[in-house]
Amino acid sequence: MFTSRLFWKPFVYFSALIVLVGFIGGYTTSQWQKEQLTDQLKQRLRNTAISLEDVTKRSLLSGEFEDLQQVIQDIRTLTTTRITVVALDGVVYADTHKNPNKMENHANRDELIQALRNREGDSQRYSDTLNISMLYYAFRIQHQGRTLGCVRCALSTSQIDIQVASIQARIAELVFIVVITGLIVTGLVIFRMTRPVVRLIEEARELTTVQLGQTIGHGFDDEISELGRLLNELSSALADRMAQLEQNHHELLTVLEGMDEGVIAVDKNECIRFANEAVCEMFSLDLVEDQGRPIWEVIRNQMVQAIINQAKKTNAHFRGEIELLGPPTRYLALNASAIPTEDEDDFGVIIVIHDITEVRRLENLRRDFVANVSHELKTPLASIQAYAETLIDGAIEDQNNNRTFLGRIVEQSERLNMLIQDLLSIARVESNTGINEYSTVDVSDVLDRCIKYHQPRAGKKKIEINVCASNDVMIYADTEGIRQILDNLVDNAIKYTPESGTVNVGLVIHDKQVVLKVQDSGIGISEKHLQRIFERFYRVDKARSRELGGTGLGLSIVKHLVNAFDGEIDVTSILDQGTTFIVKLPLLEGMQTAVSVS
Amino acid sequence: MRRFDQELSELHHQLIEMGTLAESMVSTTVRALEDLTLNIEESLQASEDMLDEMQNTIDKEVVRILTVYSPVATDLRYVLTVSHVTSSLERIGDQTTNVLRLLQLMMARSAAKPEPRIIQMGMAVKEMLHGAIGSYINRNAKEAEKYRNRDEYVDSLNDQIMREVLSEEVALEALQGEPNIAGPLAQILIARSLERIGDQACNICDQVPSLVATHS
Repeated sequence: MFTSRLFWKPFVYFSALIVLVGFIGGYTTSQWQKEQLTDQLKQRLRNTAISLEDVTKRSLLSGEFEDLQQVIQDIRTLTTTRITVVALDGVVYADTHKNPNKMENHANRDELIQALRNREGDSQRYSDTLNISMLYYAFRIQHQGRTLGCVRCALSTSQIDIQVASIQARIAELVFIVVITGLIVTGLVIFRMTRPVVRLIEEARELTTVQLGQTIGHGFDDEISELGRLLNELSSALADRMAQLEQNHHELLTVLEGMDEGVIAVDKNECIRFANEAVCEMFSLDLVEDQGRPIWEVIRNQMVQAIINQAKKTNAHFRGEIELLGPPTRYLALNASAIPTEDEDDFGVIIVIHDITEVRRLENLRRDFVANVSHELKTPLASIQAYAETLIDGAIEDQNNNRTFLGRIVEQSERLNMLIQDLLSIARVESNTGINEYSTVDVSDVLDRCIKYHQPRAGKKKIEINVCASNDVMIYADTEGIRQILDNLVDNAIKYTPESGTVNVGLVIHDKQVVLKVQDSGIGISEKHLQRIFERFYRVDKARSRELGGTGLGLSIVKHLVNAFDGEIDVTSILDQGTTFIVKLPLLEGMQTAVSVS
Repeated sequence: MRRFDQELSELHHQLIEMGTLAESMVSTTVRALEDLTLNIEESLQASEDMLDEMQNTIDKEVVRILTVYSPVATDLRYVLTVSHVTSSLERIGDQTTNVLRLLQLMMARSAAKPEPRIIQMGMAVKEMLHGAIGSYINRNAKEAEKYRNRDEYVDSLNDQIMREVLSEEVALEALQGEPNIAGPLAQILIARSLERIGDQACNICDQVPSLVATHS
């Protein structure tokens, strides 16, 4: 309260005014009092002078001053008034306090000069004769129009001074009391007037720092309470707005955090203002620690820097791509836009980052696929063409070789056919249009037939096929699809297993899943190739694969089919020791889980 | 911010820019080793020129700051390390152009491809440099120490390459005046260049403790 300027300012002004008025009042009153006293004194002196007129006139006319001296001495003893009779030329004839003969000429005294001119005159000054401050009054004595001299009365002013001083003291006392009372009253009045305002201010301050929305300014019944009410309205409106903003902010933050795309915002000094988790993961940033640091310090990438600079410079939208080297290589597409700041010429930048690694990979895959298909088709075609041309050029007459050549042509045509079949089936599987003959399939049955089909080829290579399969393993799928899966896996196993090897095929039900296991003791696949064998036309050893009659599509078809049947495929391999493919397919619902193993 | 602080932070910015450029040069070079892309020569040369220019600018700035402000304590130590780091970065830039030239020679003169170990070296060196610059910026002595220790690995790879490439056959071929030792020689020289990049990264790491030290 007493630290409030609202209180002190008017209080100081009012106090100053009161004190000033008190002083001026006191001073003028005491001055006026003094004048009154002086006037009274003057009146007394005048009376005395006038009462002496006759005696003086006589003495002056006769030239006898003995009586006069006597009279004035009497008066002096009664009134302590000093009386002097001065001739026209300033010579002193009689005086109550000194021997007139010894006194100097008084012609130059102010009151006498005035009196000679105006009949009466007065003056207050220091008397050299008596060494005190005196009030003089002089009266001109006339006789039949002729001036004879002056009678002058004087009294010491020390009495006046004493009286004035005592009166002044009284006035000062009074002024002091009035001023003090005035100050107290002013203080109280101002205090009462400013208290509500100060309280309102304090409450409003609390409102800004503590909590918006609480009500303030109760208990006043004037304009102040109106002000309080308005403040309350303002505060509750603000609280609403703030809550809404906060919610928006949270929503935005959640959206940004949840995005797969990286979002990073930098201010005009290129310091990071915001970075979502995706960005932190991409550039291995620390969300807390790196916030506020310059982006060029944290993400040291030229392309990022270039895009930011361009976006800042031109206040436009910029795109760019960067490659994050460092295993695994990642391709990122950057979209940068300038964001306006309070400074008109300077912009912050927000960058949205897409991880396009997968897109790039697929693009590559597609490109490779077209190239591969052309290549794969070209090889048998070229052979066919070459053999046919040889035959045309005369080899058809060559009884020893013409059949061989024709046989080769047929062989290559078959290969071409196989390739096209595979391509068609992969296209079908991929587009999910070919497999529409879903039915309950007994996998063990299909497996049985598959093994029987492949047995002769295995026999030729002296490969032992061990089958360990449960009976009646039913799943809901496409019979042709299941056949293709089994066919491809068993075919591969036999193909890549050297003579006198073994191929183990297992079919069990485990955890509501049909688990098919095809294990060979073949050449194996190295780690490097393992993750790519399901790609179309991917061959571990190109020469050997072709020689063995593969199209390079088998495993790709298997993978797609397994996916189509909601299953999964896994492969493990050790170089020169063998490969194991494990296919898991969902068991038909209602099937018994425990089935005896034959 | 005081004028001095402002200039110091500007210097810091320039240094990081230079580091970023050097890093990207090493990255592209290592990738060239992997993918055998040779068409980066021009851009690499441009980067190299820019790196030299940056070194000049930064070094001049360092001298200016030292004379005008005569900084003390931490600031002085920092400014002094800056010129060390720029010279290391500049040499790294030189080595990347070296590696590319050797790769071109190797491809032109022989059918050899960079050994897998060379690629490994490249990766390790790239990581070292990234870590070195990172720890320098963050003034993290512990991290600097960690990346500095990678140098042993790089050195051992270099030794292995040296031993394996200079096999008896190659030596014999060389002795018999067979002209085709370009491949093995290039392998060795590329490995050596990479190893030197690693050494320069170590030099940068070595500057970090003096930034952190509270007393000299």
